[in-house]
Parts: sequence; structure tokens; C-alpha cells
Amino acid sequence: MPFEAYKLYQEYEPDKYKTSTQKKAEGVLKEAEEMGLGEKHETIEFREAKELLGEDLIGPEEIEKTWGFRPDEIPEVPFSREELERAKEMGQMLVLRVERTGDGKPMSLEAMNAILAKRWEKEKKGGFLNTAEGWRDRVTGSKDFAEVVPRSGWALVGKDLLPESTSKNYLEQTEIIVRALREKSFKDIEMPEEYEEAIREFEANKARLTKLMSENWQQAAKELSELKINQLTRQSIQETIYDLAMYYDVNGKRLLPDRYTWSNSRSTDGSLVNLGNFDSGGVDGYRWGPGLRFGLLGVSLSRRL
Amino acid sequence: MSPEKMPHIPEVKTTPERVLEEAGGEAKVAKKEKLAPEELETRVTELADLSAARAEVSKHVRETWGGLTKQEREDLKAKGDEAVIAHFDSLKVDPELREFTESTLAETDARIQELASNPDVLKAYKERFETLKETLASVLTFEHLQKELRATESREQKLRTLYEQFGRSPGPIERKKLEELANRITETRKELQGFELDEAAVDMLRRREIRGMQRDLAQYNFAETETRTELIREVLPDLLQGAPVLFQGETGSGKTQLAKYLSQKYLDKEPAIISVSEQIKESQILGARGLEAGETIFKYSEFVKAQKEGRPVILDEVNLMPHEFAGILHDFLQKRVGDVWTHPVTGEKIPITAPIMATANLKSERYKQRYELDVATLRRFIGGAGAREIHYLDLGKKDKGGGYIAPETLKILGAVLADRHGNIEWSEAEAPQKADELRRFVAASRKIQEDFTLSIREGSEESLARTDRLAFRELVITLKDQIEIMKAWKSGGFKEPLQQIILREFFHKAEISGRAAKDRENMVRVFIANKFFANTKPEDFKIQGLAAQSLRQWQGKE
Repeated sequence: MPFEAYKLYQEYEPDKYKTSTQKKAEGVLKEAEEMGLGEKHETIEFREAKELLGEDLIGPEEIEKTWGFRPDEIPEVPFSREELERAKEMGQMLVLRVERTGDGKPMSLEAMNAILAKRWEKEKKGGFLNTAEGWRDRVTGSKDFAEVVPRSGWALVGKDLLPESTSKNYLEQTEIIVRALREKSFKDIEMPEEYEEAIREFEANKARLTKLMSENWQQAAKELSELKINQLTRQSIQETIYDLAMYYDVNGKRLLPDRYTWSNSRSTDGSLVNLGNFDSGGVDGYRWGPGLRFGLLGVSLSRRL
Repeated sequence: MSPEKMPHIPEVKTTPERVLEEAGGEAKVAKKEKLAPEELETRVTELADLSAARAEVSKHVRETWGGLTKQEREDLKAKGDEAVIAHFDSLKVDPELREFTESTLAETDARIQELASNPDVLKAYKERFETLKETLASVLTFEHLQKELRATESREQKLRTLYEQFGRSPGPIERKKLEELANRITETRKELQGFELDEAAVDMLRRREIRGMQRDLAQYNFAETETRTELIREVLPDLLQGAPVLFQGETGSGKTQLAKYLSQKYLDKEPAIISVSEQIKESQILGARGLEAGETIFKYSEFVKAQKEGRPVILDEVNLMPHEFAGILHDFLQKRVGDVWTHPVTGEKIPITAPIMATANLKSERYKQRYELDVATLRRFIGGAGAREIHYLDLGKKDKGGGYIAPETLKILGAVLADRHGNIEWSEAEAPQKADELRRFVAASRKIQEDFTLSIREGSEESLARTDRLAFRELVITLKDQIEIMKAWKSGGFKEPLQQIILREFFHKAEISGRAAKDRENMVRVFIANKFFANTKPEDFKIQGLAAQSLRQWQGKE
């Protein structure tokens, strides 16, 4: 069977000869999705999820406790019971993230700091950011510090680093994430197409990105952070801090007290930000090129739908 | 699509039917074997392959007979052996080659007859052929609609440009005509959007696209891909009205080839190509006095002769034109088709019937001042088809992840590697590895072209030192180089690793000296970064001064 020459480039012309049936089918599916008639995922009731996860569910009540307001609309938990049971086995918590504070401001690091820093000091709970100025001046820059917010909605977040993810560079960590998704999170559970596609994109670019890391680390950092898989499964700076703060505030336990997770955010100099070491001084962080490895640095698996 | 709009596919006999007929038709049908379905399928497939290949085999026979048709060959043979021998002597055809092509055709026909003599096989083949015909009809209709859309869009664009040029608004009749064109465009687009293409039709369309590129490459050394087609669509309306066009671009970006292609394919004229240099003489532009049969005459230059013959002129590297000729050039560039140009020496009035195309190299900062086209000349092009930049194919194209991609280059190289049916002779087992080799080669070439372009645009090495860019000053791997490498790979049956071909066809052929050697060193680095030459020794590159230690470092051995 010879090789059809057009297979060399047809992926770049996906719409060139799309049949009208394909177009119609795509149109109908899109319409159905817009009308909420897409494939139904058997999701779990909130009450049932609370029973299952206990203190590892950080929901509207916890938001009220930490941030001082109850969100008007609570989205449905988008995961099935089976997925939450699996998440529990994997040591994950379920967090509801909001992007606005009670008074409608962006839930930025600046806003979170304004809400928590003084209260924690007063309640002798220790520091929130170590230090707020350091985060603003050396990592995010003033604009992002005041404007960038967590992506809203429910997320399953690892309370600890993925086993075997320490002493790995950013790309190797991403491989560990993919393995965890395949062998744990979605073992015997159908993986959503979004994840399949993200993994395909990663696999297709892996060799090139490995090379790029040694040739141009800034570009590699940018591309790695933008990979769909890392957008889907890693926390941003704001999300990590939001999650750590809420869990500590409501449960009194500091996660990642002596280790760091590598986020999908980049600092102002283009390096990838890792954060953790959440002790009484507050959440600490570093900005590193993607090729570095460190024994205390791994990644917490965080996934959204 | 209503049936009356479907293109007509003539009712023709299939190849096996014609071969059977020529061999005495049904008389040969001796027996009917009972075939199992799998066997039937195998034989039908073989018959289809043989029938598809027969046209090429038959063409080879015709070529070895100097283009004689079957009937002409028979007539010649009828004149006796001496006539045949004399014919071949005049053609200087190797008798062994003729023998080979004729025996191949005879054996092809014999096998076709053998297979087609079973009525079940012939019937199944004809059914398959009918399906193909239906697909072909659908494909032709689709292509027809696409062509119609392009033609209508171009007509509309041409008319609108005309009104813009003269700065007047169309009158009521003209407005109506323009409206009709716009409606036709909308209708055709709608028809195309609603057109039902099944998988077989898409497959056929893609193969026909490759075949079209193969034909253009063979005939014009140029093949149209999306960006080139777009550029042609932009300049063609003005060019057809005789306005001059200038193509500016990097070395090897295909400027001259594009100008030649436009002239041959769209203007249907063989162009006169004038290579401009700093040493160009007036005689090469206007002509010179000479003696003929004892009389002094004025011999016109190629440039003037082309104008008199109505052929387009391509002024290659016009930026090198010495300033003393600027006056003649400017005078010429102001003319449009229909104008008359008076030859400054002979005073002959020459009607202008074809446009002028010019090319100019984009040079590095180092040479810019010396080679930059003067503003007055550049202005002559603006307002006509204009001064257009043409860059390497796929330059700057990236996927969503920011990685370099090269769809148009891959398309052309795919056409070079494929046979006339659009297939590349890679087995299923070896295809992934070969395709990977090809993609890495294209990626390396793209990186070299990107860096070369940036070196030209941004100049000094200091500004490049802080990035991952490599400085290329003079040498670059062009599309033409890539095509030559692909041809060599294909002609060796893909048996040799691609890197061997790259070494032989590129590195060993490129110039070895001074700055170019530095460029080639950088090219080696790029190829190594794309997983070529992992164990190649320094002497194998034949690059003057290539240090073994540096090479080992690039290869990750130190």
C-alpha cells in the first residue's frame, strides 16, 4: 500500500474539502451544545459530593467563611460520582473558585491579600503571601497582581504533589501528568475529548519542545505553559494561592508546607513560576526556566472541565 | 447540483475492453473460471493497476519512437526495416531502451487480456470504473465551480480597481453589472458550500491537485500554492493591462521563477529575461550598431526585440541597474500596453504590447545602500501592479503552539516525491520513519530560511547573539535546493537515508569559502538540531575550517 502524498500536509487544510454532510453535522452539534443538549455527563449532586469528600470539598459555605460572601450562582458539580471517588483515592480536593470578591472586584492576588493578610495576622494564623511585595515586584508585575484572577468553576486539586513528579523538569512533569490522567484519573473512565486532544497536542510537540528548551528557554517556557494539557491540569499562580489559602483557612491545615508545585503561569521575565513552602511566613515562590530540576519541586494535579 | 450542470463524461470503452478488442475481442475469451470473492477482488485490483499504468507505458513507447502514434508506427513498419532503422538512427534512440518499452507494453497488454478474459472480472472492473466515473463527474463539477468563483471574483476585482484608478463612480448600467457579478459570487459560494463531497471525491481532488502541481513543475519549474495563487490573483488584473510589476525578495525566494511563470502560463508568452548587473552596457538595453552583409545596421537588444515581438520582459535584479540608465528605465516603466515607445537611437516607434516585470533582491544592511532600488524607480511600479514582496514559502507560519509549520513546502515536496497517481513509494512499515525524515528536513530548511531572512532584515551579528538565531549571510537552502534533494532521494528509490542525499546534493555542491563556509557551519548546526548527522565526521561535510571539536559539541558528544 503506497503512501498518499497529501497525507503530508492535509492536517493543515482541515476545511479545504470538508463535505457538506460533515459541515452540517458540525453545525448541528455546535447548535446542540449551545442549547445545552450536548452529551450528558452523569454528574453528582452537591450534597452527595459533600458527603463523599467532607472537608476536602471547598464550596460556597467555605467561600463565605474565607472571603466573606456567598456566590449568587453555584454551578453544578461537573464530575461524576465515580470521578470524585477516584479523586478521593488520589488525595484530591474539590474546590469552587470564584473570580470576583463580594464587592465585585477581581479576585486578584491584591484583593485576596487585602482580605486575608490582616485578618490572619489578627487571628494569628501567620502570613498569607511571602511577601506580597515580592510577588508583585518580582513575579507578576503590578498589573497582573491587581487584575489576574483564578478561572472560575469547580476544580479537582491535588493536595500534594504527584508521586514521581519531583526532580523533573517542566516537560518531564507534564509527562507524569499525562501518565496520571491515563493510569489513575481516567482509568476505566472515558477520558473527555478535550483531554484526549490536549494529550495529542503534547505528544506531537514533545520532541520539538525538548529541543527548544535547550535552544531558547523563554520560548519553550511560553509554549509549555500554553499547552492545552498544562492549561487543563496545572494551577495558575492565583489558583494555587486561592486553593492553599481556602483549605488552610477553613480546615486549619497548610498544604505544600515544604514543597513547591510548578504552575502554568509565567513571571514578568518569562520564566515559569513554582510556588509552595506554605509555612507561617506565607506562600513562597520561585521563577525558573523549564529545564531545571529540583528535589522539592513537583506538580499538583489540578483538573477542570 | 442539477444533473444538467454536471460536466459531460464521455461514454468511452475501458482500457481492458480496448485491449481485448485490439487483440481480437471476445475470440480470446476461452473459458470462465469460477472465482472466490477474494480472488475476484484481487484480480480486479490488479486489472485496475495495470490499466492505470498502461497510459504511461504506452507514452514511453511513443516517446522512444520520437512521438509517433501507434498508427504512424505501423505505417513506418510497413515501409520496411530500412525505414525503421533510418528513423531510429535519426532519433539516436538506444535500441535496448526501445526494446524495453515495447516489451513492457506487450506484457502489460498480455496480462490485461488474460485478466479481462474472465467475464466476471471484466464486469466487476467495469462496475468499479463506473463508480470512479461518477466520482470524477462530481470532482469536475466541484473544480468547475471553484474556477468559476475565482474567475468571477477576479473580474469583479478588476472592474472595481478600474473605477478606483480613475476615481469615478460606476454609472447605472455599470452598477447593475457589478451587482450581477456580486450576486453570482454569492450564489457560487453557496453552491460550493452545499456541495456534497464523499471520501472518494476528496481523495480524487487531492490527488488531482498533486498531479496539477507536478505538471506545472515539469512545465514551468513552478507550482502554485495558496499564498502564490493569492499573489498572482492580486497582480494579474494590472499585469494584463500592461502595468509593470516588481517582485522584491530574498535570494532564492522564487521571484524570477514567478515572473516567468506569470508570463508563460497567464500571458501565454515566452519572456525575455535580462540579467541586470552593475556592468550592464547600453548595448544590452537598447542595442548596438553592427555590420551585416557589409552594411552598418542597428541590432536591437533582446530587451527591445522582446518589446517589438510583444513578449514580456523580465529585468532580473533591477536594483543593480547603473544610475546612468535610470532615464531609459523610467521612460519605459511609464508605458502601458497600447502606448508607443520611441527608440532613443533609431527613433523607431515601438508599440507596447506586453508588460515589464522586474525582480530585486532584498539585501542585508551591509549592502543595502549600495543595492537599494532608488525611490524614483520604485515609484514607477507603485500605482501599477505594484512592488510586491515575495518571501520563502511558509515564512513566519506557526501552529497554535508556536512551532514552525510548512504546509505549502510540504505540498510541493510531496508532489515531487509522488508518482503520477499521487502516491509516494513508501511501504506502510517505512512510511512513518520516512515522513518523519522529510518533516525534519523541512523544519531544518525553514529554520535556515527564517534565520537568513532575519539576518537580512536585522543585520548585525550582535543583535542576533542574544537569541537562538544563527546568522546566515550569503547561503540559504532554497525551495529549489529542497526540490533537487527530493528528486535525488526519489530517484534512488528512497533507499539511502535522507541525510546522505543532503550531504551529497547540498553540502558538497555548495560553494566552499570564507563567509559561505561559516553559513554552512551554521546549517550543519541546524540539521544536527533536527536529528540529522548525529555521527557524521567533520571531513564528510567538506567545509573549510569546520572544527572537529565544535561538531562534536553540536552532536552532543562533548
